Amino acid sequence: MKDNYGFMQVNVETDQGPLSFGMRDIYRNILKCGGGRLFLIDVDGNRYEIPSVDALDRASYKRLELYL
Amino acid sequence: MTKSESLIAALKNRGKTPPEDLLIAFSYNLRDGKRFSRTRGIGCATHQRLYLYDEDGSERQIDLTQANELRMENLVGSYSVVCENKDGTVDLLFSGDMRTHREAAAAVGYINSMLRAPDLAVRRELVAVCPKCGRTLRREGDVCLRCANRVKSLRRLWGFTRGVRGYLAIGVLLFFVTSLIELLAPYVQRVFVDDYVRAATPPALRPFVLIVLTMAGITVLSVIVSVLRSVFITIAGTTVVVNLRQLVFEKIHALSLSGVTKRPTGELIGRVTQDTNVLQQFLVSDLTNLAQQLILLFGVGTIVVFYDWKLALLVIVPVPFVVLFHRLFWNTMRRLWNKQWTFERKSSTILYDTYQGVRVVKSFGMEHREIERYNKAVDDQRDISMKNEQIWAVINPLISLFAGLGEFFLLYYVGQKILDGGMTLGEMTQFSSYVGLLYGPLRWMAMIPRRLVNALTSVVKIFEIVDEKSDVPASEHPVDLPIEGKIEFDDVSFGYNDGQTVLRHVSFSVQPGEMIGIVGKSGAGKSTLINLVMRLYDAENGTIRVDGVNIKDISEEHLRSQIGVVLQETFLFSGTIYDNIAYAKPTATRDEVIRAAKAAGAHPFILKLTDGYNTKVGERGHTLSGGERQRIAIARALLHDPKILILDEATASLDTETEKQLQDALLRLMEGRTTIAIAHRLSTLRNANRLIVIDNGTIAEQGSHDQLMEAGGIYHGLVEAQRSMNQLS
Repeated sequence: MKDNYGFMQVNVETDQGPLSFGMRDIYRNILKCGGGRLFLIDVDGNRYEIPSVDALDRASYKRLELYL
Repeated sequence: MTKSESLIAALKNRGKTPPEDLLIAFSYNLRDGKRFSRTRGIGCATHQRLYLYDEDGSERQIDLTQANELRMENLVGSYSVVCENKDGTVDLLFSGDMRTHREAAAAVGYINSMLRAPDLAVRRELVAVCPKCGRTLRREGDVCLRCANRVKSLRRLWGFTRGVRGYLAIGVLLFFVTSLIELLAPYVQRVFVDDYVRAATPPALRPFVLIVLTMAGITVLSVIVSVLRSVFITIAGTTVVVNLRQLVFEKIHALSLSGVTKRPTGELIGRVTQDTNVLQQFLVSDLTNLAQQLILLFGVGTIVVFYDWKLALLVIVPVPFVVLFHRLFWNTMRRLWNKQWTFERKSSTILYDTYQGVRVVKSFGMEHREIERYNKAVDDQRDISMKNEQIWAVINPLISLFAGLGEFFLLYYVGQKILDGGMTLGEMTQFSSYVGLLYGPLRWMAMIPRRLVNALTSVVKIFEIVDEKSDVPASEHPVDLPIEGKIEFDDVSFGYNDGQTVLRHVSFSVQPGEMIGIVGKSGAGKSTLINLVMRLYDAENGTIRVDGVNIKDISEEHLRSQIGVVLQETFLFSGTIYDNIAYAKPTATRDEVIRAAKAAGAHPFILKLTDGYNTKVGERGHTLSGGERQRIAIARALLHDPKILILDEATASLDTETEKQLQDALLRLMEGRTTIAIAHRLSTLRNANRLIVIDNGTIAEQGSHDQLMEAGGIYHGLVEAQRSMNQLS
């Protein structure tokens, strides 16, 4: 996750391959659904699901942790 | 390259030939099951056909002459576009996710307009695209936040300094003076040390006193100059910021309602306060400090190098390391502090929430749970801040050590020289003072880039609002005639968001003085109709006319002065009751206000209050009951004396007596005015000259109460339902 001064560029690895999208207002655009399930909402309104935060590798978790 | 051009080029790359006479081009990302498609599907429309080129190479053609309407279904994070054919069948055309949502919505809108008026359809761009990075812009002329030319914004900012350039100039001059003084001080120190403190022979008293006085004088002078400097720069900086703030506030109000509501309230307030604060901070302190540090850096740098370049080298070498270390350190600390800030916010939100909702907490007996929640949040906060403090406590001294390391080397080298006799003590004092002066600017340099970018981003955000054009533009030559009160809707269709239509092909007319009641189920589009009459939004399709003149051609000011509203949620400003009633007409005399209050039936209860008309009512008029607030709103509308009245009836259950009073007040209000009311109460419905039943965005039935009851349609059903409700109660 690269912080571009308010506009965050997020690079993820999905089950469809690597993807890059932009996020704004991060705190507000992370949805917690209980049980470690998360949704990230990007600038356009697309939603990206993280089925289980605990299943993330350590480095990724640390990057995300700040905004949880 | 425009979007259409790039899409046409992409099609050609795939080996397809787009139609010659195409009008629009758009893309979509077809999703098959759960797959994101990398390549996009491309669609083009001509007058007769819609061509869809899917990602997998297949082509489809839809005959638009057989089509009735295109519809966009908004799904979760995605959408689908279907085609309703004249024979009643519905076909799924294409789908996509939010990345192509905007252009797809524009395409649907365009095609629907074209289907209704084929002769008016011309080839055009569906979406505006940033010429630099190709991203879709919200609107034509919008500034692409990513490519925003920050330097240009800075130049515009310069334009705001018009009145204070003199102050700025003097301030900058004083900077030079301060720096010169600072550069001078070590020199005097050296003279002092060499010629007086370590003098071979005891010096004369007089010159000694002179030197001391000079040193004192320099200090005093530098203080005076820096005070003066601060004054001038602060005047300049603050004036610029105040000008900006006023401009932003003005612009926010010039925006249409959609411009204001589409942004979260906090964001707008943030622009006015936070961003301007950042800017002020930057202009007044950061920028000015920067100038000073730069001057110092170069000044001291040259002197030091001049003096002894080997020494200079010794000083310079550790610098890049220090800067790097500094940057790393600050980045880590900033992240940690951000985290701490989040936790602080969490716990204060809980605090705030529980106080706001103390009623609910107590009535459900949830105090324990809330206490637990708060304790946990505060514990987390404590853990984080302890960790942060520990890290800070360890790292901070280390940083200072590293920074100071350079000094040890210096001491060694210089000490040697002194012992050898190559340098006097005075020279060393002078030199170390210079070096000390050097480190300040260097440390500053490490911090500046981030501050600079922050400030520039704020500037861009501020100018974004300033530049935004209203959604509801005033016409070139607004007409300013006295309004009779005739309203016409001519085939109006409207939706708040792209691709969503709330009202569809609505046409009706209202004669001056008529009272029209609008009925329908919740969400049918009643409030939207009202918003359009008030011209809070502009309908893209169809025309709304007032007295035969297109509503877009009437000056907003004039229109608003002739329209009065009484809404469901009465918003009262923070002020006295008197102020609230007189809001629309601040020049009203006391008599007029009281007369309006009497006619609204508000006078009696106002008098019962201790402060009467001077009672303060806060946001939402907290201390008043619903009925009382409504009556104040009616008084407000009465004073305004509009030709057209808009009523959004509250379905709030008031006791029958208050309801009757309210009814009477409303009747008095409606006399002689064209009224459009969203009516719920039977009594209002019966009073209406005509009723319009809205169902699912279209007009289902029109007529008087008796006519509609006889017809036995939707209206009949609604009335019967209400009657039975009343019987039950």
